[in-house]
Amino acid sequence: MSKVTQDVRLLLPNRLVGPVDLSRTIRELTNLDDSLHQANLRTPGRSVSLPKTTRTLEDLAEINKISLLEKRHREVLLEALKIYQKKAPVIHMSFTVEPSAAVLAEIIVWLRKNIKENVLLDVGLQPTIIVGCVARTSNKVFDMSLRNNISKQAPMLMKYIGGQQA
Amino acid sequence: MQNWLDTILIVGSIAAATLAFIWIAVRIGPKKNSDPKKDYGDAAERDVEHIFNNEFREELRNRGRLHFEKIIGENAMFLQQDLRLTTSQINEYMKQEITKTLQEAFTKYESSISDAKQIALDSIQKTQVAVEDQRKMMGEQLDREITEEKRRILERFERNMTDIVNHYVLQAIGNQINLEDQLEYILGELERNKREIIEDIEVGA
Repeated sequence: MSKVTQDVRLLLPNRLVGPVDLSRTIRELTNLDDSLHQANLRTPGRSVSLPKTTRTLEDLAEINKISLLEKRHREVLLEALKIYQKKAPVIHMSFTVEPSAAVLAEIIVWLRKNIKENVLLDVGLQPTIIVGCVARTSNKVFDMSLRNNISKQAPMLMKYIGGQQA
Repeated sequence: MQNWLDTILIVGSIAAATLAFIWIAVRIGPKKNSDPKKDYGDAAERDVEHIFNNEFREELRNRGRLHFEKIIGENAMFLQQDLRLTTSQINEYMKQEITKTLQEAFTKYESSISDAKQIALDSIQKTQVAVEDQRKMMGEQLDREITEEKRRILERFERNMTDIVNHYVLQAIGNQINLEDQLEYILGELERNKREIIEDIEVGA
């Protein structure tokens, strides 16, 4: 077991947001590893076509200073990613519409800076939210929607309505 | 009534004249005497018959008749006066009686009308009181119902206010929902719940 695996401190790029992205990256890294392994077994003199890597995987390798061409680094990265897949904290956030990449990037940056650096964000849709979002961790639900806010402000609103009626 | 009085007057006059005639005849008629001096009496009677011959008797009869007629006339006049007086008294009495009877009848009638009026007034008053009570009761019931309905509506409104406002906002902004505009709000909310999120994540880990 490598040092990286024992003390998993992998920095995640902003493009790698949630468990889906993580699974996709693991799959991509596995394919890359297979391709490179096959390339090593190739007959000398024949041309090799390497699979194209995504920007996510490239960013991941870059910020963690990992060379994807080295088998050992790939193995360590893959193992770390699999551990993350199992153990990384996931926050589910529901929005009224599909958030854009820019919005997601802002949110994930904030989460990794303020909550935990390896946190993953699972995005869902809930049209009734309208404004705000609903976040769910493993044990709690944080209703940060306008609906919840209005419920909290109900007495003030009722007072205002009563004042208008009077 | 007048005819009857006239008849009584005439019969009374005839009866009075007859009695007066009989009385005169008895006074001037021969007296019976069983006295021993009957002979003198008879002689005197004969003299009397001499004196009171037919002519004299006729004269007396004429005088008696005249006197009787005079008395009859006077009595008739008196009777007529009495009759007039009685008639006027009777008329007065009848007037008084009729007036009294009518007054009594009118008094009774007025009393009964007054009683009926009072009964009607009492009945109307009772009806008014009942109607007023009913109106008051209905008013109170209506007030209670309105208050209860208002409370129910307010309660329902309060219960569903969040959904109502949410629905209104959804209808108002429709498809113009932009998460980028909400980003500041979302990050603010995350910041507000930051401690709890961290605690839960650490516990979950």
